[in-house]
This record gives sequence, structure tokens and C-alpha cells, in this order.
Amino acid sequence: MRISRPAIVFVLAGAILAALYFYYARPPSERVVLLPHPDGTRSAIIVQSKTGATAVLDRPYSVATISKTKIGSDQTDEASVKTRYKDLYDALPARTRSYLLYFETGGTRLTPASEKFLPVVLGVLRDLKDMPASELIVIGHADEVGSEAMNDALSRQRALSVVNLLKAKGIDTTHAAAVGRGSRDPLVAVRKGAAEVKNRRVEIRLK
Amino acid sequence: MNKTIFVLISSAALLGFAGPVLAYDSGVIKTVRGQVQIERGSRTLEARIGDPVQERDRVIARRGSSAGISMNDETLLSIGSNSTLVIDKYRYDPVTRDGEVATSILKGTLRYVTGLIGRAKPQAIKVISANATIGIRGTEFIVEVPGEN
Repeated sequence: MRISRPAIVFVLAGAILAALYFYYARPPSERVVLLPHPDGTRSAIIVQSKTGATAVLDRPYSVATISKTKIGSDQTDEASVKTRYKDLYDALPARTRSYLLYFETGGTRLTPASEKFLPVVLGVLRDLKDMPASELIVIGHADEVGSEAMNDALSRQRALSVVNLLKAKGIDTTHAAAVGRGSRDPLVAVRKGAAEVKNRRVEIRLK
Repeated sequence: MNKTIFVLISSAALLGFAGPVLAYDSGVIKTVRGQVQIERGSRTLEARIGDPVQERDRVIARRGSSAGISMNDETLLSIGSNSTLVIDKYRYDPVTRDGEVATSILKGTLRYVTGLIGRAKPQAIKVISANATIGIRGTEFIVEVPGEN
């Protein structure tokens, strides 16, 4: 059977229009991709569309595709994500680096071990001083001996003493902030009121 | 009288001291490639590395451009080519780590690395795209919102 030329043209035009529709007219889906935690801990996100449909992403590189009417799911991998979103990887600011110094009980004197460790920290801070727009956050902590108000003050004194110490050693502290967190965030869980050297600490966070 | 002056002086000292850190800066621009702008109220500023980011700012990366932001609680954000990000809400207490972060990606791509607020209280983190809301449970992710062109 012979197919008329107009019919072929018609079918082709239809196919092209359909293709154009799928590429251009149909709104492309939004995508949400779950990334793994650098430290390997589990993580998850919940995606909820405006219509109320939800999807939970809990596997690294699982994908939710969201259109106006529905949420679909997909799986991708590290290599594809790093290619497709290369600019996001390149533009992400450096992750915070953190260093810990420990204190003798009740005051702002470093333990002998932390005194010894101090030059290492200073070395790192000097090496990284050219990091773009770097900020130092110095966070003091107290153990659970004493009242809450006392520990808030003590932890702040510890943070300030470290900022002053860094300054005295020639570190630029113009963008340094000192924070005292009291005994809210023990590194080691101990019974209420117990002394614990691991909790008498200052975190130097460089971001 | 004396007391009033004392209060004035001490609040001035407090504000002066706390100003640069606490004011209402929510984060800092850490990376810029190409053309990146911050819309703040009726003003449009060219974003440069080290510039502050504030609540209600709109950060715009033009075509072929990108930007990276570090928020006060160490939330890390990067946006890619042809993207618009809004910092809808940002509140952070560095002592208690209580706070709230709401951001919208109006178009383009966003990489989101949860900071200290989210670690303590994941329900305080919200990311909104054109068609969805994303809640977290201690996480990193990417969002892509196709634009009109």
C-alpha cells in the first residue's frame, strides 16, 4: 500500500510536535537529591509537594522528582551528581575545621597536654590565614561542677582567654567571636556534678 | 541622672562591641564566580567575598556564575548558574544553638549542608522550592528548580 506524502508529513509533524511538547511545553520536574554525610552517619530528608504528596529520601543519591501534580523517585550516583552539579561542588565554602584544647579545673589554665598541642593548632591557623573571608569561632565549655550561671561565665572566660592567647601568638582575631556554652554540651556524659577534663574545653572552629 | 548616663554608656559599649558579630548578619559570602548580586530591600549590591548576608536577602547568581555562603551556625549553601536564593528567615543563638533557618530556591540549583541548628533541631530547618517543601533529618542535599528559560 502506498502512503501518501501528505500523510507522512502529517505524521512526522505530529511526532515532532509531540517531542517539542515533551521537551519544552511540559514543565520539567524539580529534583531533590540526598547526599551522603561526609562522616558516614545516616541522614534523610522529607520532600512534600504543594499538593500534599510526600517522599522520604534516606539512601545516598536517591532522587525525588517533583512536578505540580506528583512526586516520583529515582536513583542516581556520585559520579553523575558531581558532573551535573559541578558548579555547586566548586562553589561550596570549605567545611569547618575544629581543634580542642582542655583546661585544668575551675579556671582558664590549659592542661599540660593541651599546652603541648597548642603549637600544632597555631601552625594550622597560620597556614590557613589566607583562606577567603575566614572566621574564627572560639567556643568555651565547662564541666558540670558548679552552678549553671557560674559555668556560663567560666566557659566564656575560657573562650576569651583562648582568643587573647591566639592574638598574643600573632593570629589575626579581628573576625573571631568568643562564645561560652556553659555545661550544655558535654563531650563525655558524666553524672550530674562530676568533674571531667574532656568537658572542660575550648573548641577553636575555623570556617 | 547618673544612672541614665551609665545605662546609655553601657548600652552603647555593648552595641559597639556586639555590633560586627551579632548585628543582623546571618552569614558571609565565601565564594563568588562570575556575576553574583545581593538584593536587599530596594538596593542591589554586587556580592564580593567577605560580604555579609542578612535575613530577607535575595542572592542571585547569573548565567555561568555561582556563589557559596557560610551561615553563622555553619550551614553551608552553594548556588549554581542562573539561580535565585532567598534567606526567608534566620535566627541563631550561638550559646543555646537554638534557631530557625528558612530558605527558598526560586530557580536554579542549591546545595545545602545542614549546620549546628539542624544538628540539634532538624525540624527548625526548612527549604522551599517552587513546588515543594523540604524538611531534614540531619543532612546534605541538592535542589534543582528549572527556570522559565
